[in-house]
Amino acid sequence: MLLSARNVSKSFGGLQAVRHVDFDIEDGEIHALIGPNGAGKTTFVSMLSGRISASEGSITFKGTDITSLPAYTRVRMGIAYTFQITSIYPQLSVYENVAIATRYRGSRNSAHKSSLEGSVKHTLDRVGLLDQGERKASELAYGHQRLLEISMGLALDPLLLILDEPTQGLSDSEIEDFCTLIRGIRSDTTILLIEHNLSVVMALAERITVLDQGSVLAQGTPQEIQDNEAVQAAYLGA
Amino acid sequence: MKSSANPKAFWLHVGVVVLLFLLQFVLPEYHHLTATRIMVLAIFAMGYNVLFGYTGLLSLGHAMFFATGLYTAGLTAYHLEWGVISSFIAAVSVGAAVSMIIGAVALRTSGVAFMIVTMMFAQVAYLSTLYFTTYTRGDEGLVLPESARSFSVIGFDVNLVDPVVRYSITLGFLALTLFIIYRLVQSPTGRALVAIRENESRTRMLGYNTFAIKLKALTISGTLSAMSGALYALLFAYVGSSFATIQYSIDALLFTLLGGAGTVLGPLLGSFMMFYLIDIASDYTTAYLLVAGIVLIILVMYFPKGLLGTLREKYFPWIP
Amino acid sequence: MDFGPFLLLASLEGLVQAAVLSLTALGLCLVFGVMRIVNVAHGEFYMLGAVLAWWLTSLVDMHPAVGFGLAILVGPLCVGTLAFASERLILKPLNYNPEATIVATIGILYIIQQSVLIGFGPDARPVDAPFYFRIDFPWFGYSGYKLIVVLVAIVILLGTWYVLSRTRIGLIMRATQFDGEMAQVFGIPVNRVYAAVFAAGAMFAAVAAVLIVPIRQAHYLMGLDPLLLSFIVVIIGGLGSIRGTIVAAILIGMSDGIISMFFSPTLAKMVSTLLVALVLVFKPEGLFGHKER
Repeated sequence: MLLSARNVSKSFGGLQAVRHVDFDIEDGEIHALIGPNGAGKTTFVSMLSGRISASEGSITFKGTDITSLPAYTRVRMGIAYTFQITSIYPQLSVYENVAIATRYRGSRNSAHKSSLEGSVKHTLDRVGLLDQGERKASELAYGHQRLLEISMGLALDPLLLILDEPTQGLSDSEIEDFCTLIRGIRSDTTILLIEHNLSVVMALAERITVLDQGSVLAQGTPQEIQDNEAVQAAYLGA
Repeated sequence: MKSSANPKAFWLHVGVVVLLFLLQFVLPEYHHLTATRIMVLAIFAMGYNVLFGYTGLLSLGHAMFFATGLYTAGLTAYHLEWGVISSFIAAVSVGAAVSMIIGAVALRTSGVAFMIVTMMFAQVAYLSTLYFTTYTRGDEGLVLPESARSFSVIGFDVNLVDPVVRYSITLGFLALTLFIIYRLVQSPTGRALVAIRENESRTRMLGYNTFAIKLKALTISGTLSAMSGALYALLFAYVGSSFATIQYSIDALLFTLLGGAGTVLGPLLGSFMMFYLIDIASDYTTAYLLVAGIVLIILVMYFPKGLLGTLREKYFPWIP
Repeated sequence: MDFGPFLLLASLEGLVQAAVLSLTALGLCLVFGVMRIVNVAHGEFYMLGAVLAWWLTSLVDMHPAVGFGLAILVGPLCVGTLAFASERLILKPLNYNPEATIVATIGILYIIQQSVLIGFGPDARPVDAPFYFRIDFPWFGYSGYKLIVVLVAIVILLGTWYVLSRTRIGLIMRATQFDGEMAQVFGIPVNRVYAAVFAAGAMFAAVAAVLIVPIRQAHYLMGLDPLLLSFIVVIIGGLGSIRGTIVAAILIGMSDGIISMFFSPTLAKMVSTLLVALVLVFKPEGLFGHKER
């Protein structure tokens, strides 16, 4: 078990966004988190990455309790998070964007710490942005900016890569490229995917967790989820 | 912006120092003294730029750090009759300590709140200089005694009343400051500062301890400002409350914006330009700060990158 | 004078301070609450009100009340117009970017302050109160005008409260403050609201200054202290909370007045300034504000 969450909740004033969620993610799997808008997916995942603190519950990563650790420590331990709304450095070049992300890389690849430049170019190559290295990030097309966002997560060489709605706004061909990319990197890292695009979910995910109104509605393989009546009522059928 | 340092950048900075060195032989006496004064203020502005230009934090309280250096040096020289070197070292050390403490508290806020907090702390500092008037003589200020006007080092007697000596010492510290900042912005810490400025939440999620990095930046920024204050007190033998006012903090902002925030040489350029602009305006009216106001508005509306920043954007991307 | 009466005197002074401060701070609070920007030139609009009051009263050769009446009606209107112009010409083009507006309003501060220096001069000039009468307490006589100032302030505050909570205009303003984007969706002309609010904020400060100038005198540098005090009040009261601003104004005004009389004005200011810095750091919502959504 790479990461476990037990009884994790989050309240904002009177509003309970996440209620008593138990969640596990296994080493090496591709796990998808789905649910209607407002279900609490981003809130939950923000608690995993440390962006916000949990109101109650505990989170364990690689056997260590990380519940009260700040976000930057969790990143250095091997958890990477890409933002739902693209959050890059628009005024800097694509190269610089990835270079900044590469600083705290290698939670486990310390053996062959390649040079910064080599590492950055390798990451850019993987996502197909190598030829755009010198361009200002704000000049990239939206789809490429999304890719840059993902590449910054990759650059961290994480043990757990959390992708928050990565295909949002991408064209069909870009989505296909994305799926290929994910299949290509899955051997290096465990992936937690928040997604609305169900064809992507069904194509990539090995296990799915469904969140609705802050609670876990169902958890299982793609087939089990598709057959689950409660899920159909709440989400798929709607 | 490539990570490897462009040799053109290095020689540009060396060139500026050399130019300033040669300048002292051609300047008439009035301008000689003014240039010394401007260079000391430029150090203040450059210190401010580390926090404002590179880290993106708008402080309206940097006069507090300048005044810390100024008063520590001045008061130890005046009341305790310390020598020049001891006073200077004390001033820089106290400046560093104060920067770190204020930073640890103020950096818990950001944006507008940070601006107000720094302004408020600075205002308390200013009021203290007025309140403890028995020691500081408030607005009127203190003139440093003879003992603080010269010192000896390695057998050499250094007389601070001599304009050439003053100019050279100032230039030396200016070069030192340029060097420190130049190296800082090329270093990983420097690039982390820019990352924080451009997108702090992203930077935090990339494994950077942004609070610690900002604290480091503020400490460096405050210490350089304090050093500038110490230099001012010891070279011009005067301390007074006017150096702790909000207007003085705004001066640092003004010089930096004009010359180019986020460039190493920008504040130096801005200091010279603004100083002479105000000097010329003073010939026509006592309300020379009117010029400052107009310049600020023009800058923020049309040239937010300042002179050097605009040049860098359009023609010379290698300027650090 | 014995302690008791001295305390009463100090409290009355504090009350006058609080009255004027609440009007000034209210202006700043409205601007920050609705537009989310900090107007560093706020103190200069205050100063302008006082200077214009001096000028307008000097034009009229009749009973001081006439001149004063002119001052309190025309002065704030002029200041409001100037504020409106600066909002349209400078702040709107900057898109209300927080940092840029701070720098721009610093520029406006200098321009207003120094222009007044050129036109008005560096001296402090007195303005006659519209009327004189004494209220005789057993221990001391007190200026009736000062008490009228407090009354007028209360009337204005009540009027403002009424407008904001009971009228359509108030509703529009509160909607814009709560969520500017949503307000636009509902057809509220947010841009015009912003301009009007900025002008109104400046006018509040100007009115406060006109009220106080017979007591204090007009001087081109008189804007800095009210600016800082307003900041202190607005922050402690909770940015954007009108109720908080008024409560904080009373607290700060009274304590400032009392500490000033018992100790020193400088110490009073040091205490309140330090207090607000710490409040901002440790309890940024102030007393009544809400945590940022």
